[in-house]
Amino acid sequence: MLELRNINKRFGPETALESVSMEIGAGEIHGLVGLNGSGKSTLLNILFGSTTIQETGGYDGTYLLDGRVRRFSSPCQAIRCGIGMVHQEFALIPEMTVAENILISREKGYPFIDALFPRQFSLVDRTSSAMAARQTLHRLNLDLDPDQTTGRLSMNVRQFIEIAREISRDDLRLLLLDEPTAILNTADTDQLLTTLRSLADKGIAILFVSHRLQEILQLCDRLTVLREGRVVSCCAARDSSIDTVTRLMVRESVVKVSRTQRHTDSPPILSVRDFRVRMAGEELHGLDLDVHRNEILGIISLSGHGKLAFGAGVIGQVPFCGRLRLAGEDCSSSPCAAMIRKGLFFLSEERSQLGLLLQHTIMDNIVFAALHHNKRFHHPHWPHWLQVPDQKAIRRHAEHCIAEYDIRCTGPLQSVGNLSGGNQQKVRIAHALTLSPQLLIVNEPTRGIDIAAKERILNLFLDVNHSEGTTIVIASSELDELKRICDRIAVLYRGRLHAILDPAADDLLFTQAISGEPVLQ
Amino acid sequence: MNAPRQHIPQLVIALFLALMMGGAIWLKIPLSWVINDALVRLAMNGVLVLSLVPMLNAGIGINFGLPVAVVAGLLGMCLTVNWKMTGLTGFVAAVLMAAVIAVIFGSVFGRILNRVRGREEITATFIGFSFIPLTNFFWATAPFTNPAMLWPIGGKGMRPTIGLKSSFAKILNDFLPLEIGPFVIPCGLLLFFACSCLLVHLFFRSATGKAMQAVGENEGYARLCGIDIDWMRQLATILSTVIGAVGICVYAQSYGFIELYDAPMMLAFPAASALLIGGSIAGRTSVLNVIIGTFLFHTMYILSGPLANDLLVPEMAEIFRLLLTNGVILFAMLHAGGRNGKPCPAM
Amino acid sequence: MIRNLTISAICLAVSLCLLSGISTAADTYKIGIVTPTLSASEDEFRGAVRTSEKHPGMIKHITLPDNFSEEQETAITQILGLGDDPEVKAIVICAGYSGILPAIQKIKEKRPEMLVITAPIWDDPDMMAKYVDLALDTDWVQRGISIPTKAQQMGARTFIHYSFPTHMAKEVLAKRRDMMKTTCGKLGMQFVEVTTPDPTTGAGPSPMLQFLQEDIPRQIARYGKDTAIFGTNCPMQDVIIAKALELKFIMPEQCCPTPTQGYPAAMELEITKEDAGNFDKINATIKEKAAAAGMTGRLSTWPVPVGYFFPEFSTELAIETIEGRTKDFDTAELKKTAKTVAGVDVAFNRMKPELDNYYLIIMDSIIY
Repeated sequence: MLELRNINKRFGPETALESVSMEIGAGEIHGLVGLNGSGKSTLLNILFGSTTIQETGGYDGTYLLDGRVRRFSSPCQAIRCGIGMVHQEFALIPEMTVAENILISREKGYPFIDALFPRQFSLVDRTSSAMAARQTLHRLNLDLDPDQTTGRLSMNVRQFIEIAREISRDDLRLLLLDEPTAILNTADTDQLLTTLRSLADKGIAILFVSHRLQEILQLCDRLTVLREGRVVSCCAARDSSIDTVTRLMVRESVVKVSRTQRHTDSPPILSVRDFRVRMAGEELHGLDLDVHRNEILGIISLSGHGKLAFGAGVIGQVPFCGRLRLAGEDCSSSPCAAMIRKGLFFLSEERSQLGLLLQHTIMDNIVFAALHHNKRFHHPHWPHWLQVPDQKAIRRHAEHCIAEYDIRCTGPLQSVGNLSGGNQQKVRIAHALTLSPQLLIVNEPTRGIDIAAKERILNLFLDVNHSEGTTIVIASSELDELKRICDRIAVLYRGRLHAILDPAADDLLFTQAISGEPVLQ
Repeated sequence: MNAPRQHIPQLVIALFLALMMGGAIWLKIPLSWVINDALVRLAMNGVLVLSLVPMLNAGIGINFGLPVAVVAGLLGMCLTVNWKMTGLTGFVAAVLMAAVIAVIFGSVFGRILNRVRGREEITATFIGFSFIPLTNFFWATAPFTNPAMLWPIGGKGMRPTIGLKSSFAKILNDFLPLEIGPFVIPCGLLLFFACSCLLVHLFFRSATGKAMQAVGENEGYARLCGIDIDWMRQLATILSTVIGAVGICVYAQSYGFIELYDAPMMLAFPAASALLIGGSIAGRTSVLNVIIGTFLFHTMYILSGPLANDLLVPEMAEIFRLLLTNGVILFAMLHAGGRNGKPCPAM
Repeated sequence: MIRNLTISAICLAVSLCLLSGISTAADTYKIGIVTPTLSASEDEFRGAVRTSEKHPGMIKHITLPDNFSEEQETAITQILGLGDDPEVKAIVICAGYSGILPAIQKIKEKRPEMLVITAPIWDDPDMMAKYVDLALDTDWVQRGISIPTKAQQMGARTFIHYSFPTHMAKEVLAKRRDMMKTTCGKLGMQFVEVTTPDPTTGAGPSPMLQFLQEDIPRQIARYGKDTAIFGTNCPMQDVIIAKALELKFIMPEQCCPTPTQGYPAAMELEITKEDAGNFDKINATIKEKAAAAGMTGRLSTWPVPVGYFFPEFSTELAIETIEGRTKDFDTAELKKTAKTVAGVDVAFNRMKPELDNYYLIIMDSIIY
């Protein structure tokens, strides 16, 4: 029923999908697996006609639905062709009732009025709408009053409502599910899987994206494995095992060990206990972790399992509960400024949103925090409280950084907004290191950066760790890179510490740990 | 990036000004009048326009709550007039007292604005509007004693306009006037304006100023860099209020009257218009924008009046001037919105 | 306990009845004066206050809501309340608003003997003449003749009229301007019309005032010192009089002629609390200051503001009528009372020849 031929998609200079081809037949449940950033979401967006695809330049290749070529420019067109999608982030309107959410834009009208007026003017028949909603919920074995407001319901019920909205459609042909089970518990998951099976039996095709390999193997007829935007395998689920699929997902290349691991027993510079951070989509639910002085610690997890919340919580960008000790001092609710003065600095994963002053010069960006927090760049002839900057010293330092960190630019006065992603990242690191922090927490330092700059940045971390003794914590989804530079790697699962692994450990072990399988060390 | 497009408003206004200038020469309106008046107006209104800069750069938006600052300035001046301080001492005392009152007003004002993130401009507008009736009540009942300030019939409460001729009217205008032929350059006034501009410019070169600009441009980033955002915003509001209070003192000494009651109500709008015409972009407004904007905006007023009266089409000129100024402001806002709406791509 | 309460209640009721009986039985009467609030219009308010001080206990002074146009209902109820008081035998309404006539109609239906004097209200003149006993107003249009004439007597050769489009769209003001133009033509004066930025658009009055400050010196440079300047908008007067003191031109009259407009701010008049409201004293002070500035004979206005004059004048008329000293409001009668109240002659003209109870007034000027 669905056929993709040689789909290519690029985001700027990066390739997200490269000649992806796949087929899904009617009544088939097709699994789609791959690591973060392997192109699953991009593929779903193309299938659903998401506007972001159009805005970033469209895609190449052929998209056939029932043998006819399709090229959706908006989700509306996709919906009209019988495609439904359940999003990873909820797309429910919290103020509306369950019935309204399920039947949104397909409300039952009074037949009399529908006969007289076009669909846009039909008068909603609340009772029959509620009836229809109840029937749909019944199919999901969910006993729920369709008249209550959605906003107050629990997460997993909302997930079911989202699914109910799609399956209540009479014209549904192809259902796209983006990690529908990520937040469900085992019982609910089983419930959902049964429902999906019965849907498929009615002839609806389902594309099921999940990180839980167990479910995929259990539910799907066939599965496709994506790696770095390419289809590496397409096989029947019953012929596969978790091990073989994992091997396919992970790149089978030689690990470039660039440093020897050290086992530091130095006292912890930072330790957190029962650390809870309510960061939307990346919550930590009680993390216990020690960061030793002078080490490089990697933090890895699936997205949504809390790796990005660690730095944000520690620096105070997002409020936290629990205990936090920095260099032996208890500092449980300090503002950012106090943490920075204590020698901590944090580089957020949002490079352009929270990382730079895009309209300012490289020079201004490099010295910004240092100018504010120490007297290094204050003009010696003026009283310090006036905070008159010493432009000459700043310029000298900026030029030094540009040379040292290999920032490709026209000069220290170039606006940061005009630099490429990699060079912007170097500016940020220069900015952080200008403060000479004792502990540097970096989120996703290499996301969206070309290979050369990536290596340069990783090297920088090693250098500064070696020469200045700076402790570095890197939260990243790039396992390969973490393994190359870290002393230890912490794996988080569902907002808690799942395991601390040696970087030399097997990729398979890591993959299992990341997906929440118990790890024995 | 797209520098020429960015300056279209200024170019349009400048072109219109040049056209009017040509008209003025053709109608034999002496050029010296126009230039003398333009210089006085620039400095007289410039400080008020300048007062918008700190808040704009701290990301709070245009200070439509300017009446708050103006009332602080009026209070300062009324006190000096009440105590019969005259001349330069009177003016300096008025400015100092206005500044002290403005610090108090500004910190309260700033605290309120910190509670209404994202809706500062509309909140400030309403704070300004609601502050006026409150002060009206104050003016009507305040126990001022100088009989030259009180209602002539009732004998208590302040008059709506208070003459300053015997205290400090034109004190800056007449300080160090430089006469070159028909041109009279009010050096004292210009010097005062230049000093204010320089101070604001230098402030934004200091670490605190840069931090304030960072708060305006990217609040999240500034917080991550350990900057106390609330304090920065409050500081910006206090600064704006103080400069505004000084601004109204400069304005009043040049105008020759203190205007109380409803007079401060609408002062924010011409100032905002001038600044927008000057090409200000939120978070990156420089002193140069202030000078250019004030000059263009007020010179347009100066030229359009006599020109229209001599051409005997007064209504047309009024309509045309309004159309042009408001149109240019709309264009400036659209342009600024476009930049904010779509942040610069990384590449 | 209960008995005590009952007794005291009865006592209270009886005493209340007695008291009300006494007050209705007494042969006194009251006059109601209706004015805007102090902040809306100082002159009328102070005029009414002064009248009530002159006749203690006789005056019931009520003020209309500040935003009259929005709270017209409240205003009408207030006026009707005055009409319900049996002691009130005359009502004087001094509020330059339109929309008050319905209240008067209602009162007249209920109590035809009630004396109603309006000074002024702005409703349809024919209707007003039908219901109101005496309607008074300033003769705005006639001033188009009186002002240029006075200016010429003061020595003016040019007459400059400052206004702006919104004002010139008002019929009365435009008519007055036309009258001024024709009068100037008749008297051989040059009439110059200058348009200022409009204070009703956006930026408020400050652009207009700044324009005046710059434009008056230019005009005086062009037409010389013997120029009379007249502005149609109240805030203009401060600037015009201040510039007159500086440039020595002629200021024949403000838009609202009174010594308390423009002069106090421009001349920085120091009026002590005791002298406040004492117009003889205020006029003397202005005269002194004008002489000191070498401006004797070049500044003029009406000696008392009309708004201040009307409440007292109307009340005096009402008292005379109620006490039977006057029957009809004929011009001679009016002039006599006006002279005692204002201290100068006041001219009364009929609004329309056929209406015998609607008069427009022009006061004799004082030239400093």
